[in-house]
Amino acid sequence: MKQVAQLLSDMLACGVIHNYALFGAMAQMRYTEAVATLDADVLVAVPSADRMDVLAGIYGFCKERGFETEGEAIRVGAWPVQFMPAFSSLTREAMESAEVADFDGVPLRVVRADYLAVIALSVKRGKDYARILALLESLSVTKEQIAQLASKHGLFQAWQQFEARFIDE
Amino acid sequence: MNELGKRFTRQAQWQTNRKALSWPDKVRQAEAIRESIMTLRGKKTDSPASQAAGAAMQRFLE
Repeated sequence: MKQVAQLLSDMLACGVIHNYALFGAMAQMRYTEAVATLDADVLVAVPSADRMDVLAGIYGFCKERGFETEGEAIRVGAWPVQFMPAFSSLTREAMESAEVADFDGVPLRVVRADYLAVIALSVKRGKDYARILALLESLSVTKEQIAQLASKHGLFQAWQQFEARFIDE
Repeated sequence: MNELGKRFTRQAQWQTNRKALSWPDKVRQAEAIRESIMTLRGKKTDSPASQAAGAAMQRFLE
């Protein structure tokens, strides 16, 4: 993961991306115990986001440095890394408000717990619901913070349904 | 508390302790978990973590 952090810093310095933030299971682990995951997910803002091949610059940059593709991901050290353009107001805001963590001496931008929970709420898979519960249990985010952010991004009903199903009983 | 209850308590305490690890350490744990999964799926990689997981699996199977 240190190699991923270094690669992202290089991309930022070279202007291949304007911004980035790690999210998904890797980011969750800042707050909870380790969880099983097969890849690392990174939100990115790229210079020409309106192009069809929006990630071409990233793939090209990685290829020049010897990182090979693995399906839709790019293999960096031990991890396949999935790059995902920040595609909605929620993910853009999550990326812009990310915290800078330290990974073995290398800075790495990581999505905050409240945004991780609300992104999970928007995806609605079983493992995403488990992520919300794990984040709540770790006390890294409160129900009120999730409700407020969910409401801002049109997900208040989804939050109410989640609460009724997993918390209120 | 019976023995089963004590066991659950110890397991919960162990899991709580896992949360207290540093983030890089938890990522390294996840890396080892991933390599074990890949080994189980027959997609073994060449990393040291994969080799350790493969060796552990071999011992288990023997």
